Amino acid sequence: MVDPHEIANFLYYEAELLDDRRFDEWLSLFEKDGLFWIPLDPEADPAREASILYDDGPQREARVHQLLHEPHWSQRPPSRTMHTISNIRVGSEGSDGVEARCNLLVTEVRSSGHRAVQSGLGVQRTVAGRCTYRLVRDGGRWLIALKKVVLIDHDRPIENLSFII
Amino acid sequence: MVEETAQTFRVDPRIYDDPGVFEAEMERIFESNWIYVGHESEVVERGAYFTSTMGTQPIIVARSDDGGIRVFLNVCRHRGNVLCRDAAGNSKGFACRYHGWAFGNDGALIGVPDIEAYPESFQREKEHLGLLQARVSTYRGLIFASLRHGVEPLEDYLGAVKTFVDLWADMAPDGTLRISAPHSYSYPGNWKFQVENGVDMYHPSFVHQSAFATFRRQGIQKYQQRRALAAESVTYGFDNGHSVLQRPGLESIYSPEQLDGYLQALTARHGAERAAQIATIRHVHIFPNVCLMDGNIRVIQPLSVTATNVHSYFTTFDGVSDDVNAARLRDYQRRIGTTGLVGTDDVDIFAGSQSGIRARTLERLIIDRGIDREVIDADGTRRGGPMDETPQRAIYRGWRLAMNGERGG
Repeated sequence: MVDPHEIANFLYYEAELLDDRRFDEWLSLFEKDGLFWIPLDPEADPAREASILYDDGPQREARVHQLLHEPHWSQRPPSRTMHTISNIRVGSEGSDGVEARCNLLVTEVRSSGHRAVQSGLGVQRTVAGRCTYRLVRDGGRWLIALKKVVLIDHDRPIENLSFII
Repeated sequence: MVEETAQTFRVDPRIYDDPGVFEAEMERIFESNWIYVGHESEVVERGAYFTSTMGTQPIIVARSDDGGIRVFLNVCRHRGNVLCRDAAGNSKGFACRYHGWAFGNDGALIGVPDIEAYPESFQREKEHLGLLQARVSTYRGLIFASLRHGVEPLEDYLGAVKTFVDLWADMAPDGTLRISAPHSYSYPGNWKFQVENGVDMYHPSFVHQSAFATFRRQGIQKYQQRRALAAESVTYGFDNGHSVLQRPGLESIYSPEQLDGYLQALTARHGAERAAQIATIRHVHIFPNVCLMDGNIRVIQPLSVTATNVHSYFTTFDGVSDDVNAARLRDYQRRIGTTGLVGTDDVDIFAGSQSGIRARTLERLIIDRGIDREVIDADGTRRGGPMDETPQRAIYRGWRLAMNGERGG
């Protein structure tokens, strides 16, 4: 039996790692072949059609490396995020893991201090999406096999999505 | 606002934040030049349509029942309500939600409810009350429209850049190139910042150092140049504001086997020499609003003087194996999709330029790089070094021509 509280805590933990910018630890929450997918078209085949983001392990590692260890200008100053997770629904466990769904609201701002008046900085905004996770057991812990985030504005122009939702 | 001497090329930064300049651009460029509105693969079936803009004017691009592509102003002739609020679809016509006036997909006015209530003069006028239409012309699958009555033929407007549009379109070995849903992003800056950036090879080693360092360290996109594909790195500037940036680099996208297969397909169709010319990284900017690139078509949509949307359509080629298109998609998305490691830093630069020019005391921006070493062909084409600002000068000469109302046609 899957304990829904355990799944919920896992999702909150992932959110906390991202908001704390503990990106290396966040990487280790994924299965080696795990996928992080933000579709343009939720029904598309991401191997053949474009997505807002479709990261396998190496691509996730590249993204985190650029964020933490290189002068990634669109993240200097860095985004401060607050991931809010709600409406968590946990399915039953099958041979390929557990499906969990939730709503995600990420509030984000890049600050250059209290006096700055610069385009692209200082405006607090939200990114809203509906998530589908497939989680698998690894010993006593959970790993992410798939994190799929369908933004409610998936087909609209997006401003600077250089932070991890 | 654009000043040129033999040794200098300077622009007034007000062109990026003056609302009056923006309105003039909408009128003198976006209602005058040929504007890219879409690709033929977006309106294949009769009745297919999508909505978009030319400058800030709402349009419908439709494949009429007679098979022709038409571009209408998306506005009802009655009281000015928007006619169609769908992104895309297929229909025999368009009916206005307000009072039910109906137009065929060829633009003709085909229905006015309670038409008897209109006076005699209206009954005579109504055959001229079809949807307002732009002139439409296509080249190699690219659909252009113009709102200027006397606009010159599209091929004259393209001029010498046509050669490069052909090289770009020939990247698809059997001639068919398709697009689908784009990566769309917005930025709080003027549309011209994106235009300039797409044909700028001076900035990558600075703006994209974090991405390149990441790729190197992660072992992604290893690049081993093939002698046969050592195309030169060069920039071009053309009349009417068009420009080209060219450099080798396809080897960083494909595996050696994929590249072999792709080159074979190109050679079978075009011969070895032209295949080698085609198989390079090339950005072809057709002024004002479209840049044809090796992985995508990038369309720039001005919203206001300080706001822009950009729509980047990944292209797939017919006539190549699935894994070649998959390799192209992976490369393109990793680099310059909405969350691309390369492209996101460009977008931040645009916002930075929009902020910097609030310093009113800065009166002129400098676009002199390589100005005194351009090679100028008989047809006026200018050729510069890979990191010279030849493309940017071409853009602003084309801009000045249109803004001064001096374009021919």
